[in-house]
Amino acid sequence: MATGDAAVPRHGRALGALLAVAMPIVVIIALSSGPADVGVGDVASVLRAHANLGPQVDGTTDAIVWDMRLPRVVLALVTGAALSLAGVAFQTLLRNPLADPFIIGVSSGASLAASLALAFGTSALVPPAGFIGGLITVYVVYQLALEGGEVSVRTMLLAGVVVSSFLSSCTTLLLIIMGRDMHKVVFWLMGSLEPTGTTVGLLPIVVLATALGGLVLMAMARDLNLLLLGEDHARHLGCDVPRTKTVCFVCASLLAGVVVSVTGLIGFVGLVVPHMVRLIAGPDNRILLPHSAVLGGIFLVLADLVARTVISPEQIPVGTITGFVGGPFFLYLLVRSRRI
Amino acid sequence: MTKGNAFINHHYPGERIISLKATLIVALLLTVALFAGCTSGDGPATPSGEQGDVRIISISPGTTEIVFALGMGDKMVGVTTYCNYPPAALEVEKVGDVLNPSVERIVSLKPTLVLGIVDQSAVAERLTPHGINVHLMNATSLDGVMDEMATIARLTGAGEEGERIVADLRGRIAAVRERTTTLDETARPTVFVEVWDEPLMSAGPGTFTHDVVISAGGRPALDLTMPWPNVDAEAVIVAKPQVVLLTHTNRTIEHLRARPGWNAIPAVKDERVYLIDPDAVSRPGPRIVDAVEEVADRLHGNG
Repeated sequence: MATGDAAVPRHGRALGALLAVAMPIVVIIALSSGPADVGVGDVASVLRAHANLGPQVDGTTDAIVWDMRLPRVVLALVTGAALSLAGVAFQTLLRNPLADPFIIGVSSGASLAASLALAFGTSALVPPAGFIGGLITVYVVYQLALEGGEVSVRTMLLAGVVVSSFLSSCTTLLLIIMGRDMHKVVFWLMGSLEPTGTTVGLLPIVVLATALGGLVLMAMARDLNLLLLGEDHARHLGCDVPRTKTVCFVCASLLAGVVVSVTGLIGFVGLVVPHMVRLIAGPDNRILLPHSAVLGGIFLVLADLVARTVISPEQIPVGTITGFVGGPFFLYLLVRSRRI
Repeated sequence: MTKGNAFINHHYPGERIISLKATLIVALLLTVALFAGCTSGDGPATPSGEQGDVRIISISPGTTEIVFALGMGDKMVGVTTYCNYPPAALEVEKVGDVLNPSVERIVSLKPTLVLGIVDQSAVAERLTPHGINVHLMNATSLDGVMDEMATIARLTGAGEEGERIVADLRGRIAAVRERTTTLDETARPTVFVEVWDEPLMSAGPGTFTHDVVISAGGRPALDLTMPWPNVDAEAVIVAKPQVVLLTHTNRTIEHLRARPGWNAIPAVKDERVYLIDPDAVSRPGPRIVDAVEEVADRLHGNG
């Protein structure tokens, strides 16, 4: 992961153009696919009706497109973007290619809190509990990693791993005590983009948080590039290292925390998508951040499309698809890039 | 989640998440199977014909219900924390839960017979070296449950009274089938079984719930392949089920009406949404007969 300030990365422009074309196509395909015979034409009529440009459509068709497929596609887009942005941020901040959005314990804290909510409350409590649990965990890890007022990346990584592992044990213990009600938690842990009442209500918050986190990270892209050179070099080149690290940490944790609390654990996207973009377009964060966000969104929309259509009317947890499809594809890119 | 190029020596937390997840998924599948008692497998281990001081331990809720229904409840010396029916089962000493009962406690209670279901073969393997007779019931249908009840009646020494009880239950199932076998296709309402709401789960082939619906004269609204699939709500709207059976207590018809597109479903429009006791309909026990009668009444009226 070397930094590069080159204006035109390897295939950056081509990738940008490809993503710009692919995103609307993928969204339209996803909106037109499902067990119901509701295709592109119906989707267009529903969208026209909601924009007051066309006549009302049949109630069931409208419900399927507007209330069921659209929230799901939007949630997939935003979740994929947020996870990829958080992945880029943590990989840069920790200077570690294995970092993913959950590396410092957001997921284990959120899982424990969500399990507690399910054990002693209702499923509506899961998102707020998961969010708070995730943020408390990263705050503890952050405090543990503070050395003389500055965050030590090494300590953060170690503390994150240990805290995660401790909290996972707590969750396992709780599940054993909960016994037969644990399937609720297991489903949450597997991750889902199903548009339940709770999920749809929280969608605006997820969109807003992702946009905010993404914009702040984008504004810091140059400083993040400097950070890749090492903290001393970055300091000499005029980067406010402690501030950059803290803001990057807060943004990434917020992105991961919001998403995990609404969708549960969807793995692989935040790890693999940034690497895919790096392999194609290079490591410049100014290119990497926006392209990863868009590719992450497209990737998750496609993964969810497969998850809900391949054995329709039955569905596969979307996290299974992201790993199943993403892993081999990433290895292919990795091997190909070595040959070049 | 873990990639090949190991960059650091530390354990990567993703591994733990994955392994925790894997454990949980296995545990989930096992629990679902246990509550449903519906997977196939090898037959029972050594049955016991020992007479005299009968001491029975049941390590699954279904077998607990069977023993009590056979009138042998007073011979029970141990049950699991999941055995919540009949109320008398709550008074019996607990040996742990269905996934991980305490072998030590089971052995110390000196049972002459331990009853469980076929998915608990791992537990059985830990008990047989102690010379304990274990019978794991293996039933995938209503008739299979009745056959297993007859076997358990014999093993526990329930005698003629036990045989009479099983024959009576078989008679009730036959009576329901008599009402429903003559129905032609159009007289069988399409049924969607909602096992859970978030995520939306149903019961497919190989589950008692599925068998109950068919025996009670219903047609599954969705063409399912997995036993407990997570289904796409859109598919339910398209399938237009005439009846919805809820086998969980999270939701009522009001909740269903509020879901997008669901008020167009005939079952919701005609208010044919019924709550069925989840334990009765999914446990391999005597109450499966109550469940099939209740569902038949719901589908075809008190004929």
